[in-house]
Amino acid sequence: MKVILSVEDIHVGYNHKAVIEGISFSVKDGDVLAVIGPNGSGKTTLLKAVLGVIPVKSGKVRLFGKERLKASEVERLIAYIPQRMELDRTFPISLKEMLGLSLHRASIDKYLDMLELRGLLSKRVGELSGGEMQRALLAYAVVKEPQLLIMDEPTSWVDVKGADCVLCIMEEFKKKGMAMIVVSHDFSVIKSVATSVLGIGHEGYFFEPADSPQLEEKIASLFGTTHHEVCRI
Amino acid sequence: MEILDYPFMRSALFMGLVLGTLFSLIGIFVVTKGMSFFSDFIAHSAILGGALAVIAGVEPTLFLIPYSLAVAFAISVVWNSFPLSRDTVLGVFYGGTVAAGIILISTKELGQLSLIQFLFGDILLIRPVDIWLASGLLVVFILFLRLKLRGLIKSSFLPEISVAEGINVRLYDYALISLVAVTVALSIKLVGVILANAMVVIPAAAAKTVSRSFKQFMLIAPVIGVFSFTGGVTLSFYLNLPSGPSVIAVAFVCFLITLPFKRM
Repeated sequence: MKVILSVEDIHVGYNHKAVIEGISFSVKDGDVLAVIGPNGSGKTTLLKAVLGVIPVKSGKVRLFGKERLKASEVERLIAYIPQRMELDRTFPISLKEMLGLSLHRASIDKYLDMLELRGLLSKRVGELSGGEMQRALLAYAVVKEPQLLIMDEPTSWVDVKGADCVLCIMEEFKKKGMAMIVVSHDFSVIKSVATSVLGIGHEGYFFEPADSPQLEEKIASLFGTTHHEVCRI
Repeated sequence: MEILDYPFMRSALFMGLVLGTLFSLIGIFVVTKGMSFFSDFIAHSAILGGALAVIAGVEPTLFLIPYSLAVAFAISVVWNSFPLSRDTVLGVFYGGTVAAGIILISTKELGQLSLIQFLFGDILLIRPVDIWLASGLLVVFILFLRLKLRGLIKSSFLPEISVAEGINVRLYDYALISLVAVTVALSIKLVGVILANAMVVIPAAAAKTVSRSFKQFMLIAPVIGVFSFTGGVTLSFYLNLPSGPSVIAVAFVCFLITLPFKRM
């Protein structure tokens, strides 16, 4: 299996405040890495460091075997859906044009059907409902069938239909052998699709296979909850 | 047509065609990126630039282009170096440059350029060099759009995702800031310092109101821009009105007409 991402002992912070200290993990093609942790533990910061948006103070991040990808490679190989994104509703752009901004390799029709967006293509994006807009963002990310899909809490900002779509897309991508990194508080996501789990806490981190017998115990320790409560995180 | 018998009116109409297209295309990104106050600042800071050009004895347009670029980059440096909002920095520099310009104008003889001409524009001030520069800039901007339109739209509409995808959003911002600075500098003679920003913003704002798609936006804005410039210049000729305010008045009427047809 090809290593898509390797992170070696990285330290990341803002000004003089350390947010991430000494984390290492790797993601191979076909892997679905779930990133979990309490609020403020640095999950989003980690994603941004991986993407090169925030500089790493020490340690190494290698994407597709390279420490520095060209911008065109990043755009072609990686898709990112931020935690919560409000689009400018006054921006005059149709859904079809918005999806056209993505470098789509795949048949766009399949994803339009999965996300129930086909009938909305000629609509101005500002006219979409909140749920439709979030599905549109998901479509934007997935139509290029990236080799690495990074999603920051994808089920927290979508409606029920959108959450089903997210799981559907993740299962589809997993079948195709694409790699994914998903920050999520939704234990059902972790249980159903994750192949490994990275837990980040204020006191340290763990990186475990999703089928590890110690996983629930480690999650409980990370959140300071009982084993029973983990199932509800 | 009588208007075409006069060489200065032919120049003004041609300039209107070029600037109407250029202003409205740049205005599309100024309006969508929320940079209206910035382009207004660039226009008003030209009061200082124009005064300096006259004192230095240099053709105002040739001086205003590097001057406006320098002011735009100075502002960008302050934006990125101090804990002040963009609005605040613009407000401070707006007042400072206008005050300095008026002090210079009041203490020096402006020679060929009167303050009223400078503030409101005068088609008699247009020289062949202005037409060549504006035409050249329009060609450059159309080439830029041909090569980088997708990146420009993405960096305006999806800035967070664009940064994550490796697109240099700041570079696009600098390119746009430079184009706004040069275009505003080129238009001062025709529409004047006070009204230059209005021609960047109004055609694009009118087109944004009625467009269902970005393609429509990019087609409607130049039509309104060219109509406003050529219509305003024609009105100013037949009714003996100042050219700048006539152009803006036509654009403003176009904007009012689009309001009942809003798409949201």
